[in-house]
Amino acid sequence: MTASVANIDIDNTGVDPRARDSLVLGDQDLHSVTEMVCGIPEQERIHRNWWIAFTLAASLMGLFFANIAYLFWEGTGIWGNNNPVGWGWPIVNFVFWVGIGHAGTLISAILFLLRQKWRMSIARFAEAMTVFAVVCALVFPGIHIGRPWLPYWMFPLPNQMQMWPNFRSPLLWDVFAVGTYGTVSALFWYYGMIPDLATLRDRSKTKLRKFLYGAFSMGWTGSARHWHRYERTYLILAALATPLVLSVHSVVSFDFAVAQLPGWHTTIFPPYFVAGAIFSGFAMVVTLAVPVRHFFGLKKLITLRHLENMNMIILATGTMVGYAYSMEFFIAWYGASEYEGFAFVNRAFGPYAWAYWTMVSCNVISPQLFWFKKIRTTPVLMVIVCIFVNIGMWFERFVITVTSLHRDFLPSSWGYFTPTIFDMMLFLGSFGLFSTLFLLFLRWIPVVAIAEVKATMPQAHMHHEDEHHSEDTDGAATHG
Amino acid sequence: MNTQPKYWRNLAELENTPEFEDFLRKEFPDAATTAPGSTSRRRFMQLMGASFALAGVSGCAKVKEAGETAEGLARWEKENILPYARRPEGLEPGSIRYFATGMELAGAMQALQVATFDNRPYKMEPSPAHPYSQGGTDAYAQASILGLFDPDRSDKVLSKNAESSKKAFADFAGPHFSALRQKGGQGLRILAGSTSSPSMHALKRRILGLMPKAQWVQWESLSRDNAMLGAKMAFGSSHRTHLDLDKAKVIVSLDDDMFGSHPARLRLARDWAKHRKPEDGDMNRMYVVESRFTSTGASADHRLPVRAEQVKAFAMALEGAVKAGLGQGKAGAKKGFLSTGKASKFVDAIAADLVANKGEGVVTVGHNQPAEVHALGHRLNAMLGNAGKTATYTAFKDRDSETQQFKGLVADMAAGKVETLVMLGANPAYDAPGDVDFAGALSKVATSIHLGLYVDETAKVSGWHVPMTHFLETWGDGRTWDGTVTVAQPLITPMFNGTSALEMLATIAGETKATPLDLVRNTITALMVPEAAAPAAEAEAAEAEKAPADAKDGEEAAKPAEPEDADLVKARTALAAFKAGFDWRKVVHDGYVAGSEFSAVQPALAAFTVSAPAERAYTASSELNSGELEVVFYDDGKVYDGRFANNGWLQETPDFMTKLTWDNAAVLSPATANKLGIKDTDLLTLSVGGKSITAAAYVMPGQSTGSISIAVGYGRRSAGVVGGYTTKGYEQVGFDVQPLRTSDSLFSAVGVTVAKAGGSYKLATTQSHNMIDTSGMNAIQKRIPILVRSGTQEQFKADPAFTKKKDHLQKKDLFSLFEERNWSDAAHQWGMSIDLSNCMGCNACVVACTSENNVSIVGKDQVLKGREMHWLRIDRYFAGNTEDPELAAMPMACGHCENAPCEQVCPVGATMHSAEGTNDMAYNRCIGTRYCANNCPYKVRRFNFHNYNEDLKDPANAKKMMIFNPDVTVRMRGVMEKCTYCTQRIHYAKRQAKIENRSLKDGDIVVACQSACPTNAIVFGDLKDKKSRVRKEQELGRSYAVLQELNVKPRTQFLARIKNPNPALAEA
Repeated sequence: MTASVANIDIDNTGVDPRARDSLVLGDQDLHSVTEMVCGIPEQERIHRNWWIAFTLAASLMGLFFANIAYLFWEGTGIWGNNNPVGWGWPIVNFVFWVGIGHAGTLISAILFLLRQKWRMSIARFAEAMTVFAVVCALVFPGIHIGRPWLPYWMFPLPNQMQMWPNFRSPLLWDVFAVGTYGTVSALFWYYGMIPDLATLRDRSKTKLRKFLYGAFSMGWTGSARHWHRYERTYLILAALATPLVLSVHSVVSFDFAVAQLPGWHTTIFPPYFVAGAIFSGFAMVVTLAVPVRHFFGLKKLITLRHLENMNMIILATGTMVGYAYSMEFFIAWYGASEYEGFAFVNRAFGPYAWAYWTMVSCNVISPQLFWFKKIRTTPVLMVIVCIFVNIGMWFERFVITVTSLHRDFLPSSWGYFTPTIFDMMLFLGSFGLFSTLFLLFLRWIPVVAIAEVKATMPQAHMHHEDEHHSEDTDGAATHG
Repeated sequence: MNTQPKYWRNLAELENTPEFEDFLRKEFPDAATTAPGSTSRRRFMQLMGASFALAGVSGCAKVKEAGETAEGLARWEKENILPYARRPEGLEPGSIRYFATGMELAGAMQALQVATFDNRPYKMEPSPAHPYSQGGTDAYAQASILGLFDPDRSDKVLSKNAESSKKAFADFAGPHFSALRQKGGQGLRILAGSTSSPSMHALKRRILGLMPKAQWVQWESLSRDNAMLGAKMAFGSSHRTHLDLDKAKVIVSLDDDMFGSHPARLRLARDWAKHRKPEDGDMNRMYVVESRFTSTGASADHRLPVRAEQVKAFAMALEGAVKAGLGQGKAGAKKGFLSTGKASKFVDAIAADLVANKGEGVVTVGHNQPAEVHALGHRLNAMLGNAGKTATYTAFKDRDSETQQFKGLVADMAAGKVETLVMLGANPAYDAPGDVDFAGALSKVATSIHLGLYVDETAKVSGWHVPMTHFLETWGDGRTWDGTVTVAQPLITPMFNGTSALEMLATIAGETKATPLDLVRNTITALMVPEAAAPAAEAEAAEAEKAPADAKDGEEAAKPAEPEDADLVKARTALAAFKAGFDWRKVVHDGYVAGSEFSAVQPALAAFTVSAPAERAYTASSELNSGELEVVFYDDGKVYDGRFANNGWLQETPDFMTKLTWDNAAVLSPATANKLGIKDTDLLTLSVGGKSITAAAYVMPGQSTGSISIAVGYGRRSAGVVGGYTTKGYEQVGFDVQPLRTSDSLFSAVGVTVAKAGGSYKLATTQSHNMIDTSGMNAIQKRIPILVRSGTQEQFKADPAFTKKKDHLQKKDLFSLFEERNWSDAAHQWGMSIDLSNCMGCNACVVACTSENNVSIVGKDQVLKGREMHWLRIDRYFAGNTEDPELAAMPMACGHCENAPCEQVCPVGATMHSAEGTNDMAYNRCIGTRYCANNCPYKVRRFNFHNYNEDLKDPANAKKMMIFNPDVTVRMRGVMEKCTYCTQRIHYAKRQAKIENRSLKDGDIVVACQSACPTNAIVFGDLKDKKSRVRKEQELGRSYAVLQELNVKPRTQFLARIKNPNPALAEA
């Protein structure tokens, strides 16, 4: 915690753009920003709290892998899945984590293209969150299959038998969609990190650090040519990632929408899934940003205005999700299909009504609290709301997956799904994997994109000092 | 060897010589001294191969003898059941061969064929050529093959529960019975189940001839005493009733579960089903008055739920109404429950229908009803002129009630009058009624010998336990219900060191040299060729044998001499048979003796009076009180009286009505449960007469109000790993109801008090019945008429395609997302048609499928989780009033959809369509995403959540591997499986056709479920063949596809169920 200024909240959430404070608060100059961010990975002694958190996270990760080992040994039967409910928690968790993995790329790519400068200070760790969430997500489809040593059969690998995967299957589309998304997100994240890694390299005091940061910064010198190519490539990557943000969850939703199961077979799924994913992703970013800025003294960089903006997105997407819920019901009634109609009545009033109403309360009602500015701008309150949102979003996937499956066409096959302890441990364990990766990230990598943040500072715009918020930022960052 | 002349010589006699045995012992000690004890499959093959290398010479000789009948004739005059060292003509390795045999259950034989693969039996098939059976099997028969390979079967002789040997027993038994013969059998009792075996009867006669003081006691826990005593009451002497449902237009069942627990159930169902196709003219009409909801009740056109004790009053009222209808008197005033509502209308409607169809109706009474009701039934049939037409009779020797015989035996035992007790396959220590303390009395018997398949409850308290052979391991015979003599040939060498009942009886009779084959062949020959039975008494007995099947033969001509030499009898019989042109080989080949059925008699009705029925105070559920209830005991078609408790296939088969697996339960109607404050799965204490049992409650619509039914045969304490073995730590399966049964009333107890025992019990049902909320119930009620379509004969006559009107969308409205395949390129297009009019829920198809396709059983825990593996299930739904519901049922398996939704979503293409229209699973390619199962609208795909064949790694279970159908892959963990339309049978038939250079004919392929079905409800064949039965059925107006609006185009279609209700009973 080497922040040069007191780590306190300053209200910069004013509505009037003219009276609004800058995105970087306090009496900051370019150097102090570098100090503030680089100070975190450069701490001489690692803070005790980090160790505590890391031990906890690593233990949970151990639980995760131990569970997977047992799963390989014993089989899918250790979970609660059964005959009508072929997909249970692993798929719920998969969709949940993919959804979480939405916000990062959305923030870094779409908001970048939209010139939303407030994205700069949260983009890095939002992207990190995305990459780690996708890592968590990708584990599940691999292990949920009956013979988990064979997931590579889903890839179109040339082989002597000329066996190809089935290109009509949404699961195969999934492999491509999530795979591409994961690859591009990781690339985008890493690419954006290069100038900052070079900064750390330049500030390194040990040989090992110098070597490692040096290797990863790929010979970055900060020359104008480097900056030029960097900017162009970044723009191209952002343009590439942008459609992926929309496509990945659309394709994930096809897993359900393309099936003919009542409750899955609906055309609303792609946009509804994307909205839900952004919703849950932003909630996760807020959930992570609030403690990070508190513990690492970044309140001047990740300001209340950043948080408030995200909360407003949560409010917007949460409302969209609520709209989608009601639309589903309307169409189920309007479509006049006995089976679809029942699927929705059953969701709301059947044996899983508790799950449905948990979902509605968390996803539709709780984000509405963000109409209140007080809640929108108070870190503790917003974290509570955001945690509810993520609980709700997990339940949304549970409701979609399980309640549709447990009662479909033939009542003779109706069943009920009860999770086992292994389902729960695996889900809990996935948080361990995620947190471990995230804690390592906090420890070794600049949490905030230093170069990008500097571009939003007045110092970066010396030539037109009284136009802080000029739309003309083209090339501004190149002077960082 | 003795010096008697031989008429019959061949090399097989070698095996009887001491030299040969000595040689065998030295060369192959295992094969000679013991049948393989814990034989692994590999070891089994080694043994078989090695043993037969020796027998090769004689084997070849015999094949030549058998000549052109090699195929189908499994056994010659030789006892070792061994494969060939040199391949005889006509035997192809890897081909399936069928041998006729038969399975006897409680005194009635079921004719069967056994499919064998390289001389290993693996699947039970019906015997369509058998004059009585005409095809179809029941679930017991299908599952019997699993019993053969059950590793829990006893394989060691036990003496006072300590391991002994066959030799030790022989050393004991020889002198013991010899001494007994000297004493005239003083103190000897033989306890056996009901049997129709002529050989058993012949031996019994010989034993009782040698030892006049000995007694033979017959005991069946599910006795048909009442029927016998009822006939005696009606006719003055015992008669067996035969129903000819083929000729009956009106069938009235008074608490008779004809299709479930009647010994002739297969034939009855078959005959009934012949007249249930509305296309073939007028249908029969069936009324069922019953206490619990049976499959017969479910098949009825009209069903009236009444308590079992009310049936008598109903029968009396019916008789009155019929009399009035016939103009022979006045119907008495209806009292009690008969005075109002449906019951009142029922009496009048049935009576009118019976009178209108004189001579073409039939009344039948259930074996659980008292003798008086049976007598009433006979009188009704006589009065209506049905006797001799739809109900025929065959004469039986009188005997006492077997329950009373058994009670007498136990009294004798307790009084110390019994010195030696031989129990043949019986398990009275478990299945004796609660008021008969068999186990206690047994301790007073000096020598008790138990011959049984398992070390069961009785074996554990007996002095000696001798392992018994399975019916597939030894020669046997029996009679089907009509009396046709049916021969059971062994299919495999005794694997568990077993002794057959015939051998045990021969030991008692001192006929030590007689083999079971000799005994059976001699008996059958003597039966058919009376000259073959030399002593006059035998000939006379053989003549008498034609009539009694399970009758007690009292006064036989005593024949005190020591038995004749076996070789002499054999030779004489063979000569007589030869002279008379009796072809034993044909009998074995066919499995039956043509023309050996009982001849019908027309007994005159005796005068009798029936006591007034006890009428309990309550008629409505609101008047019910604990302490006034009745409990009905029944067999649920799975474990029978408990003897099949260790059979996993049967235990896991869902009961047709309750859908319960692995348990029995106290079934009560919703109104009864409400009144008593009982909820589903509550543990209850049922008490009557100072005895009580605990059982879980199962609330099911259709059970009559105030009546509780509970299946017998559960709660075994020493059945095995599957059925429970308390001393070895295997929990009991289900609840033992024996304590509540009494020798005077085996099938019901009245005045029962019901109390909650506290706590609840997990009941594993395959259709979740207990958590359907109101919205779910409403949805089900809306869907049933669409899913399981039905209508009346009137509707059908008005518009044969009326069921199609229920289709949500017509064909022209359906479009496919993908280009649809053209199905004209392949030679065949397979399809199936299931006639819901004919399905009566016997579960034979389910077990047949399990057997044919190596379907795993998963155990109660996994069923509770909803992971049962059955490829074929029978869905059943209730509709209407919960106390008197309608039932809709349909067998459901993979429909092999043309636009299969499962195929489209599989990412690795593990489930694909064949050119012939079947939806195939490539288990090797399956990675187990379970997406296909999710997308299957019929939910017929089954996933291997665990490695259900893991236990095969245990060498102790190696015998289990022999059960597998070698043509079907055994699935590993993590893959999906489902009905394949028995693809192995399709390919087998195609191969055979190709070998014979002909094209496939309709009927060449009979899939497992179809083959087992006694009512021909399932038809499989080529839809491309315009003349095929399946094509014709699918072209019928009432053929429909379930969920046709999804456009998945299933190849399995259903024929809507058409009922023939009586307009007089039409609901207002």
